[in-house]
Amino acid sequence: MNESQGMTPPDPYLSVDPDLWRKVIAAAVDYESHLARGMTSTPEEFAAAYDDIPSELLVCELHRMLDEFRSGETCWGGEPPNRYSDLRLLKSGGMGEIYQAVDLECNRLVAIKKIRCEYQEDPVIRSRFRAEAELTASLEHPGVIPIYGQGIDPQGRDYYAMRLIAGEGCGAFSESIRSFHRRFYSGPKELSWHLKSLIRRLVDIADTVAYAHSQNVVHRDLKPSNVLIGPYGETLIADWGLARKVDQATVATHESSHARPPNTSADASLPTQGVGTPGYIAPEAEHGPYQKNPFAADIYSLGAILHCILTNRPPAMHQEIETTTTESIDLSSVPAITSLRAIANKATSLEWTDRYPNVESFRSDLLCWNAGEPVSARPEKWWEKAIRWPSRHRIAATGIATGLAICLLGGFLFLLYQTKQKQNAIAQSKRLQIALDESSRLLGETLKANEIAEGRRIEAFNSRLLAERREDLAYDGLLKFQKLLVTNQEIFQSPALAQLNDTLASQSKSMLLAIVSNLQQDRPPNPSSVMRLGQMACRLAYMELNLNQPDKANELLEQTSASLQTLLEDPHLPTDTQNTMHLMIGEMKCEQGAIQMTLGKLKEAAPFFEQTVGKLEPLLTQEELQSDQLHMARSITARAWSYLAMVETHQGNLNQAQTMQQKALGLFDSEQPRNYGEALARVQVHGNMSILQERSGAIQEALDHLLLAAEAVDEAFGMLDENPTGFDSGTNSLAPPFDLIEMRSQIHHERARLIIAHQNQQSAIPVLNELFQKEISSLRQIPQQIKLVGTFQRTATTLQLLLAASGDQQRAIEISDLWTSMAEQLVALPIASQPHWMLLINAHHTAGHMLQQFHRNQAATERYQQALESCQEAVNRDIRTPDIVYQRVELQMHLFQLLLQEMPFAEVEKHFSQAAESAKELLSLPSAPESLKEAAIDQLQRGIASMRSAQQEEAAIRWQDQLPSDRQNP
Amino acid sequence: MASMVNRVTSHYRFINAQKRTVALNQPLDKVDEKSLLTLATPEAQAELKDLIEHLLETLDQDDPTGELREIALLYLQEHSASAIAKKMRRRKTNILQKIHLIRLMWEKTLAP
Repeated sequence: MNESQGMTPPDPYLSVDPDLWRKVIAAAVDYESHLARGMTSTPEEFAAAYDDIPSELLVCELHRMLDEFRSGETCWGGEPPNRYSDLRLLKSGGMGEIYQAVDLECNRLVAIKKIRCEYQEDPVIRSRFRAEAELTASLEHPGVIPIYGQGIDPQGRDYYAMRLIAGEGCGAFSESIRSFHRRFYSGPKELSWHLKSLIRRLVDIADTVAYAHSQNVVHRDLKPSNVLIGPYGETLIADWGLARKVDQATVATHESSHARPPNTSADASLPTQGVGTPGYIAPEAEHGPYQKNPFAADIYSLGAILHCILTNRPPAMHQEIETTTTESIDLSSVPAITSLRAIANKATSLEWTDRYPNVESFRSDLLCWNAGEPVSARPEKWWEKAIRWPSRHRIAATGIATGLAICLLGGFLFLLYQTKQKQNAIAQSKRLQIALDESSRLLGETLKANEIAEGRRIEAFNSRLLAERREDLAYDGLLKFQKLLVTNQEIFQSPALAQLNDTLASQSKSMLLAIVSNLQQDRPPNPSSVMRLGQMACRLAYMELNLNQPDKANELLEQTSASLQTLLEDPHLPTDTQNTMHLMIGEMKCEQGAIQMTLGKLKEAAPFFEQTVGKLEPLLTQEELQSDQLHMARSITARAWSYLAMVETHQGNLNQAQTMQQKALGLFDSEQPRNYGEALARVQVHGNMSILQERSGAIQEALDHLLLAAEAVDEAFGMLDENPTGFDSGTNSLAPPFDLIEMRSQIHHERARLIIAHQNQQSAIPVLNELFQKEISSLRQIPQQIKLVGTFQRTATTLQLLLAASGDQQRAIEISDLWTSMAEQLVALPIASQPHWMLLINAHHTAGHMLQQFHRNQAATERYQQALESCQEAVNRDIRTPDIVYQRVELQMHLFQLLLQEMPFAEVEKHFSQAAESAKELLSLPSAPESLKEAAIDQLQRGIASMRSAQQEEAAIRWQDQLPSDRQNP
Repeated sequence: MASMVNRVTSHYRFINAQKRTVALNQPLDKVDEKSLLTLATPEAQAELKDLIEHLLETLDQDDPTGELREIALLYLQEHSASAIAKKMRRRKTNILQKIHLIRLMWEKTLAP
């Protein structure tokens, strides 16, 4: 009665009159119903209405009532008899029955477990029933069904209310296992997926059991039918009826398997034998008097559930279970199924010490299996580790795989690249081979003049070019052809080539037209094609010019520039293409003018140059122009101005010419020429300037300009050193090497001429000597250059004469010897031709003259003899040109006259007779020019005159008679 | 008379403590009035019976429904106020107030 004593009102209450107290009780009941109606008056407010009761007494009691009301307790501590209604039996178990009911208070469906009627009076069963409710309520875990309340129903039966697990998808875990084994699977992947979902549930079960164990609670009746699947997929362990609390201190562990008998705190009197379901119960729980480790039994049960998952039945320990036939699915296709079996076997070991030490380790093994990791129940073999390695080291494995892939790809690409390179190299070498073959064939063709005369091959070549419309190849072919022409000048003199000219001209024209049509199709036209077109036209014009066809050259240029002009009418052309076109038209106009100048038609030439200037001057101020194009435009404009100045000079307008030349000079903005074209332009401008200055009487200025021109020529030669023929240096001028050689020679000779005329002979010697040395070195480089041979001969002759005239005999003889040795070297070459032989003959011939002048007749005789031998040598080599035949006449006559005074006439006469023979031969040659024939007759006449003066009248008359009749009288 | 009441109360407490383990879960409505007197001497039993009868009658006079009598008997049988409230389906405060009323009435009755 402690409770009631504690609640006894204090002493002042004892003196209260019972009647007054009755009023207090009535007021308190009123206050309670007042509160129950939802009113919120405070006790003080409420007590004010009862003035016949002492307020402190009443307020105190009302406060008591208020406190109790607020505490939420029911009036009498129990549920109303009708809190749960609509009871419907769901399931009947060993100890109780499960109903579905409606909780009227909370308006929800609940499950109510009631003790069976027959056990209602059994204190042991009742006590266990209550213990179950209390124990279940004490487990706060999502895997345990929550208890809402417990009590005694109006019939006096113990019951407890809990969450109702019902609805779609709900059911016992045993059902899930059964359906897993009965299902049809499309493949091992699906089977594995379903198995894994069951294992995840088992992990959840183990999780809950582990929690219970942590609370020292053992379930003792774990089996698939005691596991429920909630409507949201949650896994719940039900039926904790056999569960009990264990004293942790009495439990044996794996480390100390001997322990004192455990003592269950909840129901020590309860039987410990045979508790659980056969098949899921641990052997020691079935047979032993007590368990050393009751937790191990739960682990056994978990293992049994796993066994059931795998085989659709619990581990076979009883006969009836062994004989039970259940259909189970073949799981051998599931990866690592042996590991899972090992887990089940370990958990269901007959000796509890062989099982997992705790639920956590069982659970972690399951998790490992689910994650594809090795499990502790089954050591992994080395090859399994190797297979698993990539999935465990994703980054490293990916890295290695990527590396390998990159290596493979790289190797593949490298091989591909190499193959491509090889193919390219082969293709290139083929192209080179083709080009080489073409060029060598062309060379062979051109060298064999007779074959060229037939012209078939070149024609075929050109026509093929046209047929293919291969601009590049055509251009290259043209370049090579022109190169051959330039370096083998004699081809121009070949009559066979002249016959080819018409064919060549028509081919060239159609080639140009083909390029033009290409350009027209090209939208927008490619600037480099335009450039190439212009250059090609200029080169073809140059060829025509060299073939003495200036009209055709002019026509070619005119047509090409007209085509470009037509193309220019397109308003959508890009600026750079327009500029290139203007540049090319300007250049072609300039070349046209130059052709007119060559023909001496100054008046006709002037408009062309004016057109050039008109085209190019606007370009010079354009900012978009590329620098190389700008330099080209400047060079061409300078040339045009210079040509115009020449025209003016010829017309006597020296002042105007001066102005124009200054304009031309003003266009060279740097000290040194930038390219070959500019160097040539400088040569021309300075050369023209010197002519103009000489006309104006300013000799020194003329000489200065000539010097500048000479420097520019040297620059041009320097640029050619890198590229001896000068064809690929981007220049387009009509002055390829042999013109340049001629120019150089001309400039130096002009200088020498001016110096001799206005100063003294002595000063001119260094100028010519310098030229002589340069030409020797050029000859060593390009011995086949006929023009060079010609200019060299001129220079050597002039220099030798100058030296002789100035009395420097020794130097003159030195020059003569140099000349001779150079000529001898040239004729020794396989390419030696008539000009080379003529050079040697002339060397000896001129030396003979010089020695005769120095009164060294003996030496002179020897040189004449050597000259004659050279003539004979040339003839032996099938070079029998009129020039050489004439040389023999002249040389024999020189010998005759030289020896006439020293030797007996009879001995000397043979020279005359040989000269006469040679003269006859010359007269019989159809290709011999008349002038040569006359000169030969003249020589003979002079010899006859010499005979007369030597009193050899008889012989003179005799020879006179033998002279050709129509030329007897000189 | 007050000491008499205390003696009666103490005696019942003793008896009930003996029985409690056995009758722990017996329903309250099965309380037998006669069992209260089982262990007393015949004279004391007679005396007590009269006294109790007298006291209970005073309650019956005041409350013809017999509610006060039931509360008094349960209380004497060592049931707590909570248990009585649960049994009677009343608020505990109400039971406590009524127990106090019984006490006041009996003291008035037994007052010299």
